[in-house]
Amino acid sequence: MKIIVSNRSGIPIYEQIKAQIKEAIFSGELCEDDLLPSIRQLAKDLKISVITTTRAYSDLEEEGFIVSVQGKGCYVLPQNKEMARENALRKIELGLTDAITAARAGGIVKEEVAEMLNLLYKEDNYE
Amino acid sequence: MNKMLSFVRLDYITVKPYLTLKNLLIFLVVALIMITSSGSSVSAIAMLMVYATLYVSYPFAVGEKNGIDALYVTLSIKRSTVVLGRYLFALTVDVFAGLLAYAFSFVVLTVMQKDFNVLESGVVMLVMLLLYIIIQAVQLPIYFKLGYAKAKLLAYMPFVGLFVITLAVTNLLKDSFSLPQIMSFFGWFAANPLVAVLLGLLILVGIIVISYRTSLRFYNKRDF
Amino acid sequence: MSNILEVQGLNKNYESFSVKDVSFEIPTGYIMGFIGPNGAGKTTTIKSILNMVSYQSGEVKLFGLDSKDNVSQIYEQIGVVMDTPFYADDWTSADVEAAVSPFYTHWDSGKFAGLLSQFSIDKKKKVKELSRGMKVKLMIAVALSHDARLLILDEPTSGLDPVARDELCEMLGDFVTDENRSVLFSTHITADLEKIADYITFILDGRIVFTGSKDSFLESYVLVKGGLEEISAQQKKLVIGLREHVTGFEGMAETGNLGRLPKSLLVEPITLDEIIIYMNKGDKLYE
Repeated sequence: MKIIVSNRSGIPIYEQIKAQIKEAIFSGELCEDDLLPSIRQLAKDLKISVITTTRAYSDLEEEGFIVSVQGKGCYVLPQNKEMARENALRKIELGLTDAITAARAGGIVKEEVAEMLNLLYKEDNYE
Repeated sequence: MNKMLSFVRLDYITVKPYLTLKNLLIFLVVALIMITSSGSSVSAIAMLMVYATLYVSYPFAVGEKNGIDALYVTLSIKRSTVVLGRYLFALTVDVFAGLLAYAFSFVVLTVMQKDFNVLESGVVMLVMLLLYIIIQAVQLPIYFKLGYAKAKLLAYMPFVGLFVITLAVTNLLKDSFSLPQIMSFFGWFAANPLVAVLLGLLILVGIIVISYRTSLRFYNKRDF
Repeated sequence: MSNILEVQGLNKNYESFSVKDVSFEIPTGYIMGFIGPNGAGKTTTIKSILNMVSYQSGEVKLFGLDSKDNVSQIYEQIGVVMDTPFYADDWTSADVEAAVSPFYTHWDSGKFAGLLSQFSIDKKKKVKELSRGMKVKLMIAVALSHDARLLILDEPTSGLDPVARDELCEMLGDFVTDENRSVLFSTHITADLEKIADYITFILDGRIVFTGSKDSFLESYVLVKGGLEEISAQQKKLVIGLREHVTGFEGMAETGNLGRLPKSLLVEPITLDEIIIYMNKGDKLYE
């Protein structure tokens, strides 16, 4: 993982750090559960203030990219996109289970349910 | 107590570079010359005590040149410990010098097969010791107040003062009292040596205590 | 987060100069830079904190303790580095150790020896034979060998070359990777602090002009430059330490005031050095 900061770029250093960590997460270089360098170690390595690295990390935590575990450090959280996807999948599963139950109760066969699914997609232009 | 001893040891480490073998040798050579030329130990002892007085000023001289008083603060050495420690250091140097002078004279005179009066030399050594302790008792507060650099010249005052006082007192006595009266006065002390010694000690202790308290007051006020 | 050092209302008067009403705090785990021009009162403040000089009024708390009591408990945890060593100049490193170690309960002889070799300090050389940089390193070696939690440095880098200064900053950065330690670093060479300081206390003429986070200090001012015709007399008042010459002007402005200044001006981020320079010129007190 690469974090390089410039003192002369005009962009606040904590923003630079945040951007580079986010980049690493999106590109897959940083994976879920990877441990980030500690706030103090990063400050020492980059020769910047501890307050700056603390700010970068706490912003990232607020934005949901990382989580800090007391006594251990900061870990990368799975990406938001993935979380949303998992959320959606869970919701779909619940919805479909409900639909299947209703179909069985009403004596409606799978083919009919599948047809209804297609119609609904076409109607609402979900496709 | 521990801190006090550690401080005295610190003072010793401070002046150690100046306690060279060469110095000691010069010391003893001069003493040797004095003993052989006069045939007695008195002048040698006196000279060694002068040297001792010089050494007592060394922690002040060296310490001040390097700002060591600030070091004492960071080592959490109380100001009273510094002052007491210096007095202890001075006393140690004085006693050591006195004993060294005594022993050295004994050796030299014995080798020369001259007369060495154990008692007389002993008394001389004690009197000298007391005298120089009193001189230092006047000097030390001066060092504590002004620091070595400014005090250097002033520190010789006690010697001058002593000389002047001795002169004045003897003249005064000569004029106001007759010789028999003076002799009987001292005779009383010779007849009651215990009282004499006790009185002398009391005065000595009094002088040292006043000196110490003055030094402490001066040192407490200083900024480093 | 507790404060490792608290100074409240410190007043110290000399004949021709006074330190007035100085107050600031250093939280545990951070580096504070103490900046100001020469003679501003940095050394006086530090010596007052350490009780090397007496002061007229004020309260100093170290590690939560009143600095006038618990003296040895406090000093055991402080490492002091001044611009000149207060060791006898005829001492060797071994003498220094023999002199100071009895006064520290947590003296680590092995650590001291290790640091001396890490700094390439010849054990047999006398203090007076060491170069300026080596003398500073020796003081640091002592400061780091008795488990100090607070390092107080007074102008340690003046007279040092950039390499030595960089090494020192590296050491300090290392020191605070332990969040129970702090550093108070007084200097008029602010380039050192520009990067590693977390907090800044700025003293000018014996008074505290600013104390707080370094980032917010740097963010609250900008450098402005422009042509003489670009700026009105009214707007000139917003420029601190205004320098005018034939080809234009420059100065410092509060970031909050940028809205009232012409958009055509060149605006740049400012360095600590520049803040000190322009503040000194303008002699304005930070309200």
